[in-house]
Amino acid sequence: MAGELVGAMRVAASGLNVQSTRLRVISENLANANSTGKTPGADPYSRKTITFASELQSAGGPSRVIVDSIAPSVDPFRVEKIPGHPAADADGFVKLPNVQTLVELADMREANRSYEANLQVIKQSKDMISMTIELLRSGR
Amino acid sequence: MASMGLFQLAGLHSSWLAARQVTVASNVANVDTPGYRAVDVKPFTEVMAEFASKATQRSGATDASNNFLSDAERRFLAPEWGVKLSGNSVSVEQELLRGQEIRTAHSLNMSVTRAFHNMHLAATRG
Repeated sequence: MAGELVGAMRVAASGLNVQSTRLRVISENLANANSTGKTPGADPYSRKTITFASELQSAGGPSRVIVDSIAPSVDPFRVEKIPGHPAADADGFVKLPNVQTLVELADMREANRSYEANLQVIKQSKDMISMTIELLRSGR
Repeated sequence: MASMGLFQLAGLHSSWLAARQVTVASNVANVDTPGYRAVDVKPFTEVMAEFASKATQRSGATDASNNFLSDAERRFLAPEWGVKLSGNSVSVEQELLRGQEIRTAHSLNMSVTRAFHNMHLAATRG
């Protein structure tokens, strides 16, 4: 029984792991929200998206979660006219990253919430294990 | 001793609760996995019915090593709290409620076990 509860904690820990990776990707996006290219007409930083997949540890066992892929988004880049910018093309247009700060912030909140939920599961499992161990005390 | 069945039953219940906690953990971990469907174990009434039929048959020891997580025993939770666009049917709120329910049931289970254990001790000590 306790083994299963430890298994539950492991699954929740895999959840913590992917959510923190997600937070890392979000912070990358936010940090690079204005990273343009260096040469005229060059592509700027492209927003990265993260996807998850569930992974069965063993047949009939619990499903952990893993990071499926971290891939650049296919959204079009923003274009602004900034003549004189190193990355401006012949007409003075500069391609800016397709990062939307609001979307990233909303994503960050969601990652935060999921992280908290996983922590809660770990806390509950831990409580249940200590309640079982508590049984030994009553025998005195 | 007839009350030994009670300890066995308490053990069965706590392993069922542990298996259920594993499903909660899986569901919460996969809250953002596209296409994941929330799972649960079979209800305890079914487990209880099997336990009762085994106990009456006296077919040796009742196995507390029941694998509640095997494919045959697993049930998909009805997506009553809605399904996301990605096909994911997990609701964090529902899972946390289930987690709390499991914790309470486990606490009750342990208290009952302790009470019976104390009764045994009282009987042996005289």
